[in-house]
Amino acid sequence: MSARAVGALLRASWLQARSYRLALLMQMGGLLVSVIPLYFVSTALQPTMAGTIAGEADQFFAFVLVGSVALLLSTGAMATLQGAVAGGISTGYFESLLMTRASLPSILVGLTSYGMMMTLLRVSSMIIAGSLIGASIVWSKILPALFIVSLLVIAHWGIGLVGASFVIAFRTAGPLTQIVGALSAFFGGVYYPVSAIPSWLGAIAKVTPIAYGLTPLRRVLIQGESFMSVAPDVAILAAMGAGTLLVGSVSIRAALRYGKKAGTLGTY
Amino acid sequence: MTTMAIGPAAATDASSVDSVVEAHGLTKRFPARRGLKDLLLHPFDKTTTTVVSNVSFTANAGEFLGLLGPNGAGKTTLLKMLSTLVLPDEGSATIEGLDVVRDSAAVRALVSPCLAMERSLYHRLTARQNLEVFADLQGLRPGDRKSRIDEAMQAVSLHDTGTKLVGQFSSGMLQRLLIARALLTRPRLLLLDEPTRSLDPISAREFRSFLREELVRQRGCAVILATHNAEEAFELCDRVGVLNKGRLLASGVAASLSREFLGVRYRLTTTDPDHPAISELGAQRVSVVSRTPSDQPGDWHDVTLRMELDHDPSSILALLSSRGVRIAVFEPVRPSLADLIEGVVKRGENA
Repeated sequence: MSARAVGALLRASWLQARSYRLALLMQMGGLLVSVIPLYFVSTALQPTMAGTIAGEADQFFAFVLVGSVALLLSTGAMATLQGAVAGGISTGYFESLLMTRASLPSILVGLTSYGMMMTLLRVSSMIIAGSLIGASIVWSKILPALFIVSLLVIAHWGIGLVGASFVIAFRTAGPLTQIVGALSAFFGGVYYPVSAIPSWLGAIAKVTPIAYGLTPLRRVLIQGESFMSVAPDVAILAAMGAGTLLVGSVSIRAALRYGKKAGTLGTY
Repeated sequence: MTTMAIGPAAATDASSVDSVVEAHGLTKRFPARRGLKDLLLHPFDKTTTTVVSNVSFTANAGEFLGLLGPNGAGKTTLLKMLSTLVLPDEGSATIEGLDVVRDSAAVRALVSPCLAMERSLYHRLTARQNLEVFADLQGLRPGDRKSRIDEAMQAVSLHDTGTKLVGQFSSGMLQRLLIARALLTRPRLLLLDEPTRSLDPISAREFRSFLREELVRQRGCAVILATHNAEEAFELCDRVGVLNKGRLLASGVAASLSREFLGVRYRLTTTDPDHPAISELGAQRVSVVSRTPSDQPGDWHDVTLRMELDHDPSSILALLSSRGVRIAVFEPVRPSLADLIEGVVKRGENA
């Protein structure tokens, strides 16, 4: 993979986004403001939820804040690439990238890098803003937390690759990423712990990567537990990441081959 | 010389060790669009449309090869197959010995396509920023990047507009920027899809001059261009191939093809385009191709005559003069590209 190629695509996306200054500012401001209602609602629910969330956090605001951040990162990792590929196909940009000497991984990472960096910036702003208004975040554990977040992003990026493959082959992402997004939101432990879900529904949580990332993330970042204490869950998340990346890379190569055969790479 | 031939056997004869491109029996079929009812009734049927059919040709270093043909003839698909963007269903193509399917990454390092993709540019970035992005994607060395970008912008006369936003460009400038993007890598094979279609006449002439002098003569780059422009076909291209419905119907030097398919044409400028002597030229196997209307008697009018290759034009001129036709000009004219394509296509359909 070429860092220069990835950097070139990242820089181009940044220059494009920077040219829409007002939109960029409003995007950032909107996310910061969204933390405030989250604070009031979760504080109001604190007495009710305190017992339910006991294994992962003491404070419901911090619980929901970390959950929301993880969900934003996961859905962002899935949606960014397929959105970039869909847009690139309709403008001919994707074809023009494929005609260059840049490798396929460089192009795919490059197309995703700006979106993911912006998502990271947004969630960092949310965490900092949340911390300033009272969320209990253990800042000394930020490095292991970032490692878990990276695995979470990789696992969902693999699913995003499969979504992008559908876009290349059939011009539609299909329901896969939407289903994973919905399952993650409702059964992945974002707004309430997985333990609060009926056991027969809890089985669904076992197939979502977010469930294996969110619990260790909270235990490390909110409870201040050591990385080793959450290692088993992180290992499952890493295995899921490797699996989705493998499936994603096989599917995107197959889709590209199909696209070149069926002529769906460009605007036919 | 560039050689083109119909059919794989002929192509094998034409292939040469120093050729940049060797294509043998290239065929491409795309799935045909089907209605919902048809899909439901026959879900496993595979209906295809043949876009390129058994096309073979070679192109050597330092040569221009023109692709002519009506819209939908298969020109762009052929270029895309050489660009590794479309996989051939049958046949093969190599660029400097590298197979476009098996060695696609290596082929992309040699080929630079400039296809109609104005929307693929970053419209909120400047022209120079656009080229910088693609210079990095093409892996140009940082030390070479600036000079290559300057060189490419100079070649398409965009050197004064490097800091202008691409969104403010005219369609001709967008086209020039696409060409500059393709020139960044100093390719061995340049593929151009109607490169001058949006360019003003002066820019188009300068660009053709750059292609001929700099790219082809000095650097020995092979150029394949799909064109609807007569000047490019007749004056720039060493050889042209006429495609229709995916088939390569004829190939050769454009002027020779024109003589072969359309005969020799002469323009006669006369005050009496309806003179009986002109109409009676049919007996000499000379036909009138076109005649400007003569609603103003006494004015000069043009009559285009078509003659066979074995005709002596001076005898026709003498015959007309002797019959009292007033003639101001009698000169050979180049038929239009439309006439050439139409002539080749008609004969191809009849065959």
